[in-house]
Amino acid sequence: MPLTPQTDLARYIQEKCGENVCLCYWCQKCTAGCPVAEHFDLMPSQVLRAAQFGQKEFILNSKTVWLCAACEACSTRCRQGIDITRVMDVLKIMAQREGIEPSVRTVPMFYKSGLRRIKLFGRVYELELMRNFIYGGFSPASWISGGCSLAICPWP
Amino acid sequence: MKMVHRGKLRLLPTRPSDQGPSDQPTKGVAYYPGCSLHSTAIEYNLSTKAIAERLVLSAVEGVSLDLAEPKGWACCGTTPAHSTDDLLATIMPLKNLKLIEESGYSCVAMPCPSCFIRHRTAIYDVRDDPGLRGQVAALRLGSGQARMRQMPSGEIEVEHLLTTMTERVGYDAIAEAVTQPLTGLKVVCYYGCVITRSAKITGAENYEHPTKMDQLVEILGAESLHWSYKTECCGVSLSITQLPIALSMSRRILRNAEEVRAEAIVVACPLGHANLDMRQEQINEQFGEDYHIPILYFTQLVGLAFGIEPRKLGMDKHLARTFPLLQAKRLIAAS
Ligand code: SF4
Ligand code: SF4
Repeated sequence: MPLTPQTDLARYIQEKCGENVCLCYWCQKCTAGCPVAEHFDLMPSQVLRAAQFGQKEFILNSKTVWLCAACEACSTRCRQGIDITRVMDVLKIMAQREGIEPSVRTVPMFYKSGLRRIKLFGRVYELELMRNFIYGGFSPASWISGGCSLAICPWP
Repeated sequence: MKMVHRGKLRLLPTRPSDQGPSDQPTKGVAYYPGCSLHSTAIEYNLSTKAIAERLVLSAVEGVSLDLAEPKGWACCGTTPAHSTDDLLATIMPLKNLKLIEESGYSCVAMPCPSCFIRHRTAIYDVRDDPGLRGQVAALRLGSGQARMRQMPSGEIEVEHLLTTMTERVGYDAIAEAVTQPLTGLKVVCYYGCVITRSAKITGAENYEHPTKMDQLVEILGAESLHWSYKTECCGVSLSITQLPIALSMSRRILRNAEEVRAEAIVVACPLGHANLDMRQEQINEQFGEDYHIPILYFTQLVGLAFGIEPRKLGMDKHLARTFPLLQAKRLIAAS
Protein backbone atom coordinates (compact mmCIF):
# COMPACT_ATOMS: atom_id res chain seq x y z
CA MET A 1 0.00 0.00 0.00
CA PRO A 2 1.55 3.30 -1.05
CA LEU A 3 1.81 5.94 1.65
CA THR A 4 0.27 8.71 -0.39
CA PRO A 5 -3.47 8.81 -1.05
CA GLN A 6 -4.29 7.02 -4.29
CA THR A 7 -8.05 7.26 -4.33
CA ASP A 8 -10.42 10.21 -4.65
CA LEU A 9 -11.81 9.70 -1.18
CA ALA A 10 -8.41 9.52 0.49
CA ARG A 11 -7.30 12.62 -1.38
CA TYR A 12 -10.48 14.47 -0.45
CA ILE A 13 -10.00 13.64 3.23
CA GLN A 14 -6.44 14.87 3.13
CA GLU A 15 -7.44 18.07 1.41
CA LYS A 16 -10.24 18.73 3.88
CA CYS A 17 -8.49 18.03 7.16
CA GLY A 18 -4.89 17.24 6.39
CA GLU A 19 -5.12 13.67 7.60
CA ASN A 20 -3.51 10.98 5.49
CA VAL A 21 -5.55 7.80 5.90
CA CYS A 22 -2.88 5.81 4.07
CA LEU A 23 -0.62 6.03 7.10
CA CYS A 24 -2.94 3.62 8.89
CA TYR A 25 -1.30 0.21 9.21
CA TRP A 26 -4.35 -1.40 10.75
CA CYS A 27 -3.09 -2.00 14.24
CA GLN A 28 -6.68 -1.58 15.48
CA LYS A 29 -5.73 0.34 18.56
CA CYS A 30 -8.43 2.88 17.71
CA THR A 31 -11.06 0.15 17.63
CA ALA A 32 -9.87 -1.44 20.85
CA GLY A 33 -10.39 1.78 22.81
CA CYS A 34 -13.53 3.10 21.15
CA PRO A 35 -16.35 3.30 23.71
CA VAL A 36 -19.07 3.10 21.04
CA ALA A 37 -17.49 0.34 18.93
CA GLU A 38 -19.95 -2.30 20.08
CA HIS A 39 -22.74 -0.31 18.42
CA PHE A 40 -20.86 0.40 15.20
CA ASP A 41 -21.30 -1.63 12.05
CA LEU A 42 -17.85 -0.63 10.80
CA MET A 43 -15.00 -0.42 13.27
CA PRO A 44 -12.96 2.81 13.18
CA SER A 45 -10.01 0.90 11.75
CA GLN A 46 -12.27 -0.54 9.05
CA VAL A 47 -13.40 2.96 8.14
CA LEU A 48 -9.77 3.93 7.69
CA ARG A 49 -9.08 0.84 5.61
CA ALA A 50 -12.08 1.44 3.40
CA ALA A 51 -11.05 5.06 3.01
CA GLN A 52 -7.64 3.97 1.77
CA PHE A 53 -9.39 2.03 -0.97
CA GLY A 54 -11.81 4.83 -1.72
CA GLN A 55 -14.96 2.92 -0.80
CA LYS A 56 -17.04 6.00 -0.34
CA GLU A 57 -20.58 4.59 -0.48
CA PHE A 58 -19.64 1.74 1.80
CA ILE A 59 -18.49 4.18 4.48
CA LEU A 60 -21.12 6.86 4.07
CA ASN A 61 -23.90 4.32 4.34
CA SER A 62 -22.57 2.94 7.59
CA LYS A 63 -23.91 3.74 11.04
CA THR A 64 -20.43 4.41 12.30
CA VAL A 65 -20.01 7.90 10.86
CA TRP A 66 -23.17 8.99 12.63
CA LEU A 67 -22.68 7.21 15.92
CA CYS A 68 -19.11 8.36 16.51
CA ALA A 69 -19.27 10.45 19.67
CA ALA A 70 -16.18 12.48 18.76
CA CYS A 71 -14.61 11.49 22.06
CA GLU A 72 -11.10 11.70 20.60
CA ALA A 73 -9.93 8.49 22.28
CA CYS A 74 -8.88 7.01 18.95
CA SER A 75 -7.11 10.16 17.75
CA THR A 76 -5.13 10.38 20.96
CA ARG A 77 -4.01 6.79 20.76
CA CYS A 78 -3.24 6.28 17.08
CA ARG A 79 0.44 5.49 16.81
CA GLN A 80 0.47 6.86 13.29
CA GLY A 81 -0.85 10.17 14.54
CA ILE A 82 -4.01 10.08 12.46
CA ASP A 83 -6.74 12.29 13.86
CA ILE A 84 -9.51 9.78 13.26
CA THR A 85 -12.17 11.96 14.88
CA ARG A 86 -11.46 14.58 12.25
CA VAL A 87 -11.74 12.02 9.51
CA MET A 88 -15.14 11.03 10.92
CA ASP A 89 -16.21 14.67 10.89
CA VAL A 90 -15.17 15.04 7.26
CA LEU A 91 -17.17 11.94 6.38
CA LYS A 92 -20.21 13.18 8.29
CA ILE A 93 -20.12 16.51 6.52
CA MET A 94 -19.59 14.79 3.20
CA ALA A 95 -22.60 12.52 3.72
CA GLN A 96 -24.80 15.51 4.54
CA ARG A 97 -23.60 17.57 1.59
CA GLU A 98 -24.13 14.72 -0.82
CA GLY A 99 -27.59 14.09 0.55
CA ILE A 100 -26.93 10.47 1.38
CA GLU A 101 -29.80 8.86 3.24
CA PRO A 102 -28.38 8.60 6.77
CA SER A 103 -28.52 5.18 8.37
CA VAL A 104 -29.08 6.80 11.77
CA ARG A 105 -31.58 9.54 11.00
CA THR A 106 -31.81 11.15 14.40
CA VAL A 107 -28.22 12.33 14.40
CA PRO A 108 -28.29 14.69 11.41
CA MET A 109 -31.75 15.84 12.54
CA PHE A 110 -30.26 16.85 15.85
CA TYR A 111 -27.46 18.73 14.10
CA LYS A 112 -29.85 20.58 11.86
CA SER A 113 -32.31 21.63 14.52
CA GLY A 114 -29.48 22.52 16.89
CA LEU A 115 -27.83 24.77 14.33
CA ARG A 116 -31.12 26.41 13.40
CA ARG A 117 -31.71 27.40 17.00
CA ILE A 118 -28.17 28.63 17.44
CA LYS A 119 -28.53 30.80 14.35
CA LEU A 120 -31.84 32.09 15.62
CA PHE A 121 -30.92 32.81 19.22
CA GLY A 122 -27.15 32.98 19.09
CA ARG A 123 -27.15 30.36 21.78
CA VAL A 124 -28.33 26.82 22.28
CA TYR A 125 -32.03 26.60 23.06
CA GLU A 126 -31.78 24.36 26.08
CA LEU A 127 -35.46 23.96 26.76
CA GLU A 128 -35.92 22.25 23.44
CA LEU A 129 -32.68 20.40 23.84
CA MET A 130 -33.94 19.09 27.14
CA ARG A 131 -37.27 18.14 25.66
CA ASN A 132 -35.38 15.94 23.25
CA PHE A 133 -33.12 14.82 26.05
CA ILE A 134 -35.99 13.80 28.26
CA TYR A 135 -38.12 12.17 25.60
CA GLY A 136 -35.19 10.29 24.19
CA GLY A 137 -34.67 12.28 21.06
CA PHE A 138 -36.18 12.67 17.70
CA SER A 139 -38.79 9.98 17.49
CA PRO A 140 -42.23 11.08 16.24
CA ALA A 141 -43.56 10.27 19.72
CA SER A 142 -41.15 12.72 21.25
CA TRP A 143 -42.46 15.46 18.98
CA ILE A 144 -45.97 14.84 20.17
CA SER A 145 -45.20 14.34 23.84
CA GLY A 146 -42.88 17.29 23.73
CA GLY A 147 -45.55 19.39 22.10
CA CYS A 148 -45.80 21.75 25.04
CA SER A 149 -42.42 23.25 24.42
CA LEU A 150 -43.16 23.35 20.70
CA ALA A 151 -46.13 25.51 21.48
CA ILE A 152 -43.86 27.88 23.30
CA CYS A 153 -41.34 27.88 20.51
CA PRO A 154 -43.27 28.57 17.31
CA TRP A 155 -40.35 28.14 14.91
CA PRO A 156 -39.94 24.86 13.10
CA MET B 1 -40.67 19.43 34.41
CA LYS B 2 -38.51 18.66 37.41
CA MET B 3 -35.84 20.72 35.73
CA VAL B 4 -37.94 23.80 35.09
CA HIS B 5 -39.06 23.49 38.68
CA ARG B 6 -35.51 23.50 39.97
CA GLY B 7 -34.74 26.64 38.02
CA LYS B 8 -32.53 24.86 35.53
CA LEU B 9 -34.46 25.72 32.39
CA ARG B 10 -35.74 29.01 31.07
CA LEU B 11 -38.53 29.31 28.57
CA LEU B 12 -36.37 31.42 26.31
CA PRO B 13 -32.61 31.20 26.19
CA THR B 14 -30.51 34.13 27.28
CA ARG B 15 -29.43 35.94 24.16
CA PRO B 16 -26.12 37.42 23.19
CA SER B 17 -27.61 40.90 23.43
CA ASP B 18 -28.71 40.35 27.01
CA GLN B 19 -26.73 42.53 29.30
CA GLY B 20 -24.40 40.63 31.51
CA PRO B 21 -23.05 42.00 34.75
CA SER B 22 -21.13 45.20 34.28
CA ASP B 23 -17.83 44.13 32.83
CA GLN B 24 -14.99 46.45 33.54
CA PRO B 25 -11.94 44.87 31.95
CA THR B 26 -9.41 44.38 34.63
CA LYS B 27 -6.93 42.41 32.56
CA GLY B 28 -7.90 39.44 34.63
CA VAL B 29 -9.31 36.22 33.34
CA ALA B 30 -12.42 36.49 31.20
CA TYR B 31 -15.17 33.97 31.74
CA TYR B 32 -17.01 32.31 28.90
CA PRO B 33 -19.75 30.27 30.57
CA GLY B 34 -21.21 28.74 27.43
CA CYS B 35 -24.88 27.98 26.86
CA SER B 36 -25.28 25.16 29.38
CA LEU B 37 -24.10 27.17 32.35
CA HIS B 38 -26.92 29.61 31.83
CA SER B 39 -29.47 26.88 32.12
CA THR B 40 -29.06 23.13 32.61
CA ALA B 41 -25.74 23.49 34.40
CA ILE B 42 -26.70 26.51 36.43
CA GLU B 43 -25.20 24.98 39.56
CA TYR B 44 -21.81 24.90 37.84
CA ASN B 45 -22.16 28.62 37.14
CA LEU B 46 -23.37 29.46 40.64
CA SER B 47 -20.60 27.54 42.34
CA THR B 48 -17.92 28.95 40.04
CA LYS B 49 -19.01 32.49 40.78
CA ALA B 50 -19.25 31.77 44.49
CA ILE B 51 -15.75 30.39 44.77
CA ALA B 52 -14.30 33.10 42.52
CA GLU B 53 -15.81 35.68 44.82
CA ARG B 54 -14.28 33.96 47.82
CA LEU B 55 -10.87 33.79 46.16
CA VAL B 56 -10.96 37.46 45.24
CA LEU B 57 -12.05 38.35 48.76
CA SER B 58 -9.26 36.38 50.29
CA ALA B 59 -7.06 38.48 47.96
CA VAL B 60 -4.60 35.87 46.94
CA GLU B 61 -1.46 37.59 45.81
CA GLY B 62 -1.28 38.22 42.08
CA VAL B 63 -4.46 36.39 41.23
CA SER B 64 -7.17 38.40 39.60
CA LEU B 65 -10.10 36.11 39.29
CA ASP B 66 -13.05 38.36 38.73
CA LEU B 67 -14.30 36.07 35.95
CA ALA B 68 -16.13 38.76 34.01
CA GLU B 69 -18.45 37.58 31.29
CA PRO B 70 -17.79 39.46 28.06
CA LYS B 71 -21.00 41.01 26.78
CA GLY B 72 -22.54 39.49 23.72
CA TRP B 73 -20.84 36.14 23.61
CA ALA B 74 -22.52 33.59 21.39
CA CYS B 75 -22.58 29.82 21.18
CA CYS B 76 -19.40 28.06 20.07
CA GLY B 77 -21.37 25.89 17.68
CA THR B 78 -20.52 22.70 19.54
CA THR B 79 -21.35 19.32 17.96
CA PRO B 80 -23.93 20.49 15.41
CA ALA B 81 -21.45 22.93 13.90
CA HIS B 82 -18.35 20.79 13.69
CA SER B 83 -20.36 17.89 12.33
CA THR B 84 -22.10 19.80 9.58
CA ASP B 85 -19.93 22.68 8.51
CA ASP B 86 -16.23 22.91 9.16
CA LEU B 87 -16.04 26.58 8.28
CA LEU B 88 -18.86 27.54 10.63
CA ALA B 89 -17.22 25.50 13.36
CA THR B 90 -14.15 27.70 13.01
CA ILE B 91 -15.92 31.02 12.66
CA MET B 92 -18.20 30.82 15.68
CA PRO B 93 -15.41 30.39 18.23
CA LEU B 94 -13.24 32.98 16.50
CA LYS B 95 -15.97 35.57 16.78
CA ASN B 96 -16.10 34.99 20.52
CA LEU B 97 -12.36 35.18 20.86
CA LYS B 98 -12.29 38.44 18.96
CA LEU B 99 -14.95 39.80 21.27
CA ILE B 100 -13.07 38.71 24.36
CA GLU B 101 -9.86 40.20 23.05
CA GLU B 102 -11.61 43.48 22.31
CA SER B 103 -12.89 43.57 25.86
CA GLY B 104 -9.30 43.70 26.97
CA TYR B 105 -8.56 40.16 28.05
CA SER B 106 -5.72 37.92 27.04
CA CYS B 107 -6.98 34.84 28.79
CA VAL B 108 -10.36 33.21 29.03
CA ALA B 109 -11.55 30.42 31.32
CA MET B 110 -14.16 28.03 29.98
CA PRO B 111 -15.97 25.69 32.32
CA CYS B 112 -17.46 23.59 29.51
CA PRO B 113 -15.02 21.15 27.89
CA SER B 114 -16.92 21.29 24.63
CA CYS B 115 -16.62 25.09 24.36
CA PHE B 116 -13.01 24.74 25.42
CA ILE B 117 -12.09 22.26 22.73
CA ARG B 118 -14.02 24.09 19.98
CA HIS B 119 -12.27 27.38 20.75
CA ARG B 120 -8.87 25.77 20.97
CA THR B 121 -9.41 23.80 17.79
CA ALA B 122 -10.40 26.97 15.93
CA ILE B 123 -7.21 28.71 17.03
CA TYR B 124 -5.16 25.66 16.14
CA ASP B 125 -6.76 25.41 12.70
CA VAL B 126 -6.38 29.00 11.59
CA ARG B 127 -2.86 29.16 12.89
CA ASP B 128 -1.77 26.29 10.70
CA ASP B 129 -3.89 26.92 7.66
CA PRO B 130 -3.53 30.20 5.74
CA GLY B 131 -6.20 29.06 3.28
CA LEU B 132 -8.75 28.71 6.06
CA ARG B 133 -7.70 32.07 7.46
CA GLY B 134 -8.47 33.68 4.12
CA GLN B 135 -11.84 31.93 3.91
CA VAL B 136 -12.84 33.08 7.36
CA ALA B 137 -11.78 36.64 6.71
CA ALA B 138 -13.81 36.78 3.50
CA LEU B 139 -16.98 35.40 4.93
CA ARG B 140 -20.01 37.23 6.12
CA LEU B 141 -21.67 35.44 8.95
CA GLY B 142 -25.42 35.84 8.93
CA SER B 143 -27.24 38.93 7.79
CA GLY B 144 -26.44 42.33 9.16
CA GLN B 145 -23.30 41.18 10.86
CA ALA B 146 -19.98 42.69 10.09
CA ARG B 147 -17.28 40.77 8.35
CA MET B 148 -14.55 39.39 10.45
CA ARG B 149 -12.03 41.77 9.03
CA GLN B 150 -9.53 41.13 11.72
CA MET B 151 -8.89 37.81 13.25
CA PRO B 152 -8.17 37.50 16.91
CA SER B 153 -4.45 37.81 17.24
CA GLY B 154 -4.12 34.19 18.23
CA GLU B 155 -2.34 35.14 21.39
CA ILE B 156 -5.39 34.81 23.51
CA GLU B 157 -5.17 31.89 25.85
CA VAL B 158 -8.10 29.56 26.20
CA GLU B 159 -8.07 27.54 29.39
CA HIS B 160 -10.40 25.09 30.91
CA LEU B 161 -11.66 26.31 34.28
CA LEU B 162 -9.99 23.35 35.96
CA THR B 163 -6.63 24.52 34.67
CA THR B 164 -7.39 28.08 35.72
CA MET B 165 -8.12 26.88 39.22
CA THR B 166 -5.22 24.51 39.60
CA GLU B 167 -2.53 26.41 37.74
CA ARG B 168 -3.42 30.06 37.64
CA VAL B 169 -4.95 30.28 41.10
CA GLY B 170 -2.84 27.38 42.29
CA TYR B 171 -3.26 24.61 44.81
CA ASP B 172 -1.64 26.65 47.56
CA ALA B 173 -4.04 29.56 47.27
CA ILE B 174 -6.97 27.16 47.29
CA ALA B 175 -5.59 25.28 50.29
CA GLU B 176 -5.32 28.56 52.14
CA ALA B 177 -8.97 29.38 51.60
CA VAL B 178 -10.22 25.99 52.84
CA THR B 179 -12.17 26.42 56.05
CA GLN B 180 -14.11 23.19 56.16
CA PRO B 181 -11.96 20.24 55.03
CA LEU B 182 -13.98 17.47 53.42
CA THR B 183 -12.43 14.80 55.58
CA GLY B 184 -13.82 11.33 55.11
CA LEU B 185 -15.44 12.01 51.74
CA LYS B 186 -14.47 9.44 49.13
CA VAL B 187 -14.90 10.50 45.53
CA VAL B 188 -13.80 9.61 42.03
CA CYS B 189 -12.78 12.30 39.56
CA TYR B 190 -14.37 12.17 36.13
CA TYR B 191 -12.63 14.28 33.52
CA GLY B 192 -14.58 13.16 30.49
CA CYS B 193 -13.26 13.23 26.96
CA VAL B 194 -12.04 16.52 25.74
CA ILE B 195 -10.51 18.36 28.68
CA THR B 196 -7.38 16.40 27.90
CA ARG B 197 -7.91 15.14 24.37
CA SER B 198 -6.54 15.38 21.88
CA ALA B 199 -3.27 16.38 23.46
CA LYS B 200 -2.02 18.33 20.46
CA ILE B 201 -4.92 20.73 20.91
CA THR B 202 -5.36 20.80 24.67
CA GLY B 203 -1.66 20.70 25.49
CA ALA B 204 -2.40 18.24 28.31
CA GLU B 205 0.54 16.16 29.46
CA ASN B 206 -1.16 13.27 31.20
CA TYR B 207 -3.95 12.86 28.76
CA GLU B 208 -4.62 9.20 29.53
CA HIS B 209 -4.31 9.59 33.26
CA PRO B 210 -4.94 13.19 34.25
CA THR B 211 -4.43 14.02 37.93
CA LYS B 212 -5.16 17.72 38.34
CA MET B 213 -8.64 17.24 39.69
CA ASP B 214 -7.47 14.42 41.96
CA GLN B 215 -4.82 16.67 43.46
CA LEU B 216 -7.38 19.42 43.92
CA VAL B 217 -9.78 17.08 45.67
CA GLU B 218 -7.06 15.84 48.00
CA ILE B 219 -6.19 19.40 48.92
CA LEU B 220 -9.79 19.95 49.90
CA GLY B 221 -9.40 17.09 52.36
CA ALA B 222 -11.42 14.48 50.47
CA GLU B 223 -10.02 11.19 49.26
CA SER B 224 -9.75 10.60 45.54
CA LEU B 225 -10.10 6.92 44.67
CA HIS B 226 -8.46 5.14 41.78
CA TRP B 227 -10.77 4.00 39.04
CA SER B 228 -10.71 3.16 35.36
CA TYR B 229 -13.25 5.52 33.81
CA LYS B 230 -11.61 8.89 34.37
CA THR B 231 -11.56 9.83 30.73
CA GLU B 232 -14.14 7.46 29.30
CA CYS B 233 -16.89 8.95 27.16
CA CYS B 234 -20.36 9.31 28.73
CA GLY B 235 -22.11 9.23 25.36
CA VAL B 236 -22.48 13.01 24.97
CA SER B 237 -25.16 13.92 22.44
CA LEU B 238 -25.97 10.27 21.76
CA SER B 239 -28.08 10.83 24.84
CA ILE B 240 -30.38 12.87 22.63
CA THR B 241 -30.13 10.96 19.39
CA GLN B 242 -29.55 7.34 20.41
CA LEU B 243 -30.59 7.05 24.02
CA PRO B 244 -29.98 3.31 24.60
CA ILE B 245 -26.36 3.65 23.54
CA ALA B 246 -25.75 6.62 25.81
CA LEU B 247 -27.43 4.91 28.73
CA SER B 248 -25.18 1.89 28.44
CA MET B 249 -22.12 4.15 28.22
CA SER B 250 -23.07 6.20 31.26
CA ARG B 251 -23.98 3.06 33.14
CA ARG B 252 -20.46 1.69 32.76
CA ILE B 253 -19.12 4.84 34.41
CA LEU B 254 -21.58 4.66 37.31
CA ARG B 255 -20.86 0.97 37.73
CA ASN B 256 -17.13 1.47 38.04
CA ALA B 257 -17.63 4.33 40.48
CA GLU B 258 -19.83 2.09 42.60
CA GLU B 259 -17.33 -0.76 42.39
CA VAL B 260 -14.58 1.34 43.93
CA ARG B 261 -17.09 2.51 46.58
CA ALA B 262 -17.10 6.14 45.59
CA GLU B 263 -19.59 8.28 47.46
CA ALA B 264 -19.76 10.87 44.71
CA ILE B 265 -18.46 11.48 41.21
CA VAL B 266 -16.74 14.81 40.71
CA VAL B 267 -17.10 16.19 37.20
CA ALA B 268 -15.96 19.18 35.19
CA CYS B 269 -18.36 18.89 32.29
CA PRO B 270 -22.02 19.97 31.95
CA LEU B 271 -22.82 17.21 29.50
CA GLY B 272 -21.16 14.55 31.58
CA HIS B 273 -23.18 15.83 34.49
CA ALA B 274 -26.39 15.73 32.52
CA ASN B 275 -25.79 12.15 31.44
CA LEU B 276 -24.72 10.84 34.82
CA ASP B 277 -27.09 12.83 37.01
CA MET B 278 -30.32 13.25 35.07
CA ARG B 279 -30.10 9.85 33.46
CA GLN B 280 -29.44 7.93 36.67
CA GLU B 281 -33.10 7.17 37.25
CA GLN B 282 -33.51 5.92 33.71
CA ILE B 283 -30.39 3.81 33.98
CA ASN B 284 -31.78 2.27 37.15
CA GLU B 285 -35.06 1.49 35.42
CA GLN B 286 -33.50 0.15 32.27
CA PHE B 287 -30.84 -2.04 33.80
CA GLY B 288 -32.43 -2.85 37.13
CA GLU B 289 -29.70 -1.06 39.02
CA ASP B 290 -29.97 1.01 42.13
CA TYR B 291 -27.54 3.86 41.73
CA HIS B 292 -27.89 6.94 43.88
CA ILE B 293 -24.55 8.57 43.35
CA PRO B 294 -24.45 12.34 43.67
CA ILE B 295 -22.65 13.92 40.72
CA LEU B 296 -20.92 17.09 41.87
CA TYR B 297 -19.08 19.73 39.92
CA PHE B 298 -15.54 20.22 41.15
CA THR B 299 -16.40 23.86 41.80
CA GLN B 300 -19.16 22.76 44.16
CA LEU B 301 -16.69 20.63 46.07
CA VAL B 302 -14.29 23.56 46.33
CA GLY B 303 -17.15 25.75 47.50
CA LEU B 304 -18.12 23.26 50.20
CA ALA B 305 -14.56 23.18 51.47
CA PHE B 306 -14.56 26.98 51.49
CA GLY B 307 -17.55 26.77 53.81
CA ILE B 308 -20.01 28.28 51.35
CA GLU B 309 -23.64 27.51 52.00
CA PRO B 310 -24.66 24.47 49.86
CA ARG B 311 -27.71 26.17 48.37
CA LYS B 312 -25.53 28.97 47.08
CA LEU B 313 -23.58 26.28 45.26
CA GLY B 314 -26.74 24.93 43.66
CA MET B 315 -26.59 21.68 45.61
CA ASP B 316 -30.38 21.55 45.57
CA LYS B 317 -30.53 21.47 41.79
CA HIS B 318 -29.31 17.95 41.19
CA LEU B 319 -31.65 15.16 40.30
CA ALA B 320 -29.56 12.58 42.16
CA ARG B 321 -29.93 14.05 45.61
CA THR B 322 -26.85 15.43 47.29
CA PHE B 323 -28.12 16.42 50.71
CA PRO B 324 -28.15 12.94 52.28
CA LEU B 325 -24.45 12.62 51.53
CA LEU B 326 -23.67 16.10 52.84
CA GLN B 327 -25.58 15.33 56.00
CA ALA B 328 -23.85 12.00 56.47
CA LYS B 329 -20.50 13.75 56.16
CA ARG B 330 -21.61 16.48 58.54
CA LEU B 331 -21.07 19.13 55.89
CA ILE B 332 -24.51 20.49 56.61
CA ALA B 333 -26.61 20.18 59.69
CA ALA B 334 -29.03 17.26 59.62
CA SER B 335 -32.54 18.49 59.08
S1 SF4 C 1 -4.84 3.31 15.61
FE1 SF4 C 1 -4.22 4.45 13.79
S2 SF4 C 1 -2.87 3.08 12.67
FE2 SF4 C 1 -3.96 1.83 14.18
S3 SF4 C 1 -5.73 1.05 13.02
FE3 SF4 C 1 -6.41 2.93 14.05
S4 SF4 C 1 -6.08 4.54 12.53
FE4 SF4 C 1 -4.91 2.76 11.87
S1 SF4 D 1 -13.90 9.52 18.37
FE1 SF4 D 1 -15.49 8.20 17.54
S2 SF4 D 1 -14.40 6.51 16.57
FE2 SF4 D 1 -12.94 7.55 17.91
S3 SF4 D 1 -13.00 6.41 19.82
FE3 SF4 D 1 -14.47 8.11 20.02
S4 SF4 D 1 -16.45 7.31 19.35
FE4 SF4 D 1 -14.85 5.85 18.66
